Amino acid sequence: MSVVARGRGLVRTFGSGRAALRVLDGVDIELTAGELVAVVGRSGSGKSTLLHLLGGLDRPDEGTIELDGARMEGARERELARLRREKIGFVFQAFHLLPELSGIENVLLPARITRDRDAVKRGRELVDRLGLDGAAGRLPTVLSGGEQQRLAIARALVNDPLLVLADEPTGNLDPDSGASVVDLLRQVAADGKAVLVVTHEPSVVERADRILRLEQGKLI
Amino acid sequence: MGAVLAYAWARARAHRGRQVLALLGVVAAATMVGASITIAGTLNGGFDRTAQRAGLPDVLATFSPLPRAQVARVVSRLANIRDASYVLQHAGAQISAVGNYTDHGKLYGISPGRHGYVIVAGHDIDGPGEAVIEIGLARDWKLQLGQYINVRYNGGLPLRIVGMVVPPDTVAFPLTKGPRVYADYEDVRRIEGVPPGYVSGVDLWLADPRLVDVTLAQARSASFGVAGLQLVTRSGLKLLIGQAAGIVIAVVVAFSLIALLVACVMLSASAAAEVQRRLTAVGLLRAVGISARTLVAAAAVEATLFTLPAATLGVLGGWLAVNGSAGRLLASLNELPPGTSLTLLLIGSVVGLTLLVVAATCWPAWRATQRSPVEVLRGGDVGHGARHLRLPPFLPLLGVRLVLARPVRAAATVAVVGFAVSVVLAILSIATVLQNLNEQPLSVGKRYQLLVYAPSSQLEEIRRLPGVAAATPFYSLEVVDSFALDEPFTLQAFGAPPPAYEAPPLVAGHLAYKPDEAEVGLGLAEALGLHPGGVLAAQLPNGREVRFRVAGIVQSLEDQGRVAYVESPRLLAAWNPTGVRVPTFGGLPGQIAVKLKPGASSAAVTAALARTGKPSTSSGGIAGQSVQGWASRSSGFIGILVALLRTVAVLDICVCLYAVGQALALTSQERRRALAVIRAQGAGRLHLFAVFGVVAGFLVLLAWILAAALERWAVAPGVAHLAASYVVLSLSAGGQLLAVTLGGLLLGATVVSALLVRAIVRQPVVTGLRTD
Repeated sequence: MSVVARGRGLVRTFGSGRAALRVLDGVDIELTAGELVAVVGRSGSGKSTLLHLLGGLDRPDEGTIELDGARMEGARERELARLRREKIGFVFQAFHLLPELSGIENVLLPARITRDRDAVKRGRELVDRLGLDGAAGRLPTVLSGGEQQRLAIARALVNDPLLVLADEPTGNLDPDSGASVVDLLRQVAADGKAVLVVTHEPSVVERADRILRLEQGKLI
Repeated sequence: MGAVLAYAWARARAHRGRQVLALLGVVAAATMVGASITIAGTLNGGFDRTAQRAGLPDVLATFSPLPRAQVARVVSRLANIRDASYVLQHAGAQISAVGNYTDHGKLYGISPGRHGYVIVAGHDIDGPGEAVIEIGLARDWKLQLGQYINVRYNGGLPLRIVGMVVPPDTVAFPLTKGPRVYADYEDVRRIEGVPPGYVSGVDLWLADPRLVDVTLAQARSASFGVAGLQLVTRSGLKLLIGQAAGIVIAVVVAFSLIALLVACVMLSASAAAEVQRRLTAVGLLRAVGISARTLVAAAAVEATLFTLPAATLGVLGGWLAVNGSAGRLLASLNELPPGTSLTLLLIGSVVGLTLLVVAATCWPAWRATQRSPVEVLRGGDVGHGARHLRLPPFLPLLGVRLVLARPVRAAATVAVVGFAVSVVLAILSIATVLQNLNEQPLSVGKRYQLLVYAPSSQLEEIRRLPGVAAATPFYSLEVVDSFALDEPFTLQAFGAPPPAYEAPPLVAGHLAYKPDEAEVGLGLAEALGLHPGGVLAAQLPNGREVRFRVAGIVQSLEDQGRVAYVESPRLLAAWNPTGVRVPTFGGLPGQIAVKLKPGASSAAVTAALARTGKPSTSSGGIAGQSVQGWASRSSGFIGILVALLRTVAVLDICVCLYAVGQALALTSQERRRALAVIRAQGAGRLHLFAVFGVVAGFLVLLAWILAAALERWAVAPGVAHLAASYVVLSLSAGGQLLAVTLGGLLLGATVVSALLVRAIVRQPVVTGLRTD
């Protein structure tokens, strides 16, 4: 399978001087299409930071990131936005659905950004496929956590990304809802996308194709 | 307390951008306040202040030259006189100095004693060969103490300038046509060519100025036989000066106070919003045991520490922005600057602004501390109050949704901006009217704008012209009072009740709506001792008499108020009892008074009239007689007024844009997680700009619609009412002005949005995602 994303020698430090904390210290990572990779580690080990770097939400202090052949580490914000828009889907632990928008409006938000009619159609199909018809017309505040996270996953898939990054996607869910979310992510990988999941949950780890452990700023 | 303040300091350092934004808001509002206070403090009460310092006489009497002893006898017969000073006036003096020349100079021959002016440089005259000159002359001709001015008399009389004065009984040269020079009595007597001891004026100071009416009545009866007597009171002078610029001063002061109010509302809202944003921290601090009193006290100290320097900076900036213009305007009016009273006002405004922000911070902080910590901790969550607006699924409309998630704040922003913009529209309307005075003599203070030299047979034709709202025959005739034949005045007659065309402010009685009624100018009423209900008997040039009942006394702008307004039938009947109709009743010239439609171009109608062979002219009023006349001598005066008005308008617009920017910035701060999510989905700078640009445009458009409505139906009529003691103003923002204002606001909103988006995208996306 082809490599979708590649990180080499990634370093990220927070703070400065004596208070500086080197969260990532030369991380190398490769993600290929069709695989679900789980990144595990203690709280504060840098799992989310790694995910943010690969997603173009943050920039490394050192190292290179390549996504579908495009270099990200020195890219301008405009280029990073384009990559996020076209090639990356995010799933957050806290769902991050916009409270003013209904379920379907949240799902279609990325499609509104790209103004892609196919993406809109895809979004509606995703809502049908994920059984979210009932949630589509309602505001997030009245939906269950599971429904919200499935909507968030649908949102991440609307623009048909190559890479899906999920940050503790089951962290706020009960076991049953969590299981259905993992099923969904598994299915996303099966559809040929690279999925990177940051998690603490054994139930997620055991369904991953590959497990990466982050300790003292390095992947082992 | 120390821990809370340390936390406040840490928070300020952590959120420098937000803190700077908040402080910029204080600076902007304080600038507005500083400008307002400077204008109000400088201009308001300028005449009274200067008159008080100058010891301006309560009554100024002028007459044809008489022996001083004879005048003194008349004065001695008057009760209530505290002091008197005699003067010999010489008008039309030919004065030259350092390459300048005028033949409209006014020489005042004075003797030792009180003179009713303020010496601002040098000293008063000590004897022959010396002169003090009005400061306006010194400024305009760039004269210095010790230089000489030359009065043309027998080969020239050089007078050494020993002092410069501010005489508050008139506006300054070159605003007034003739510069004033005060010289020794004997010097002026020789120039005037009158026998020794002759004087032509007396300044009277009263023991009880409140009884000035009684003194005037006594003076009239005691002055029988005194030729050319004219009496002017201090209040009359104030009115005359007020006619000159009072309307603008009153309006600028009022606008400044309105802007002050708007700035205060904005500051309060901003401070309250800041506390709202910190609710979580307040709940947390309460949860760890900090007392409510400590929290409120710390909020007060923090607000003071941050606001005081910002308010000082802003007030200083506002003072700098308008002080020059206001000072020049004051100088043009021969009025003294306020001195330390303005400094005290400015200091007071800094303290007041700081207290306002402190109060606006402490009040919600105190309210927050009265709730349970758990409740407060939940307080900042917008999501619980989210509304689902059914808007088209376009990304730019997302901003509207985000802003409308706080509907009260959005409504308050629209209301504040709308109100402020309505004020801006009214300010710019007045500025436009003034600006046009130089090029297009519109008339302020009259309900009609043009006088057409055409017979009444062409009335219908004129009425049909585009831009003409109404027209009526008009006659103006120099007549004399039947009971006092040496009292000439102007009788103006309309083919309709006078209030429809001529509407000077009413002093007493009521307006004249019946054919046998007259509105009498204040000057004429004072000269003839007329009161409402009395009889005005006018002797026409053809020897016939026409009588009217005095309906009301009005503050007329023409001929120093020696005018009466009537309906024409009685005049026509008296002029030509045989009933011959206009245009010439045996020599009585008829004209047509034309009222224009709101927004119609006077120049266009004038041109249309000229094409049909009907010349026309401005109706006069303050424009035609005063300001326009000044404009020809001192175009800078109107420029100063317009600059002052536009400065206030620009500052007001800045405050409006700040309000919009603040609302957007507050929204972006509160919704930074939502924005981060949108950015995580791939929204770039342009997408965010679309989101904020549309919402800024949305707010500005709503505010502009509100402003246009407010201006038309509330502010403009309010301003006209405010100005009613000076003139009748017909203000209405035209389409062009409305379009320019909207364009300016949209442009400003675009810039504000661009700056905001720039600030947003400079933050890494993860910063927003991490925010709780």
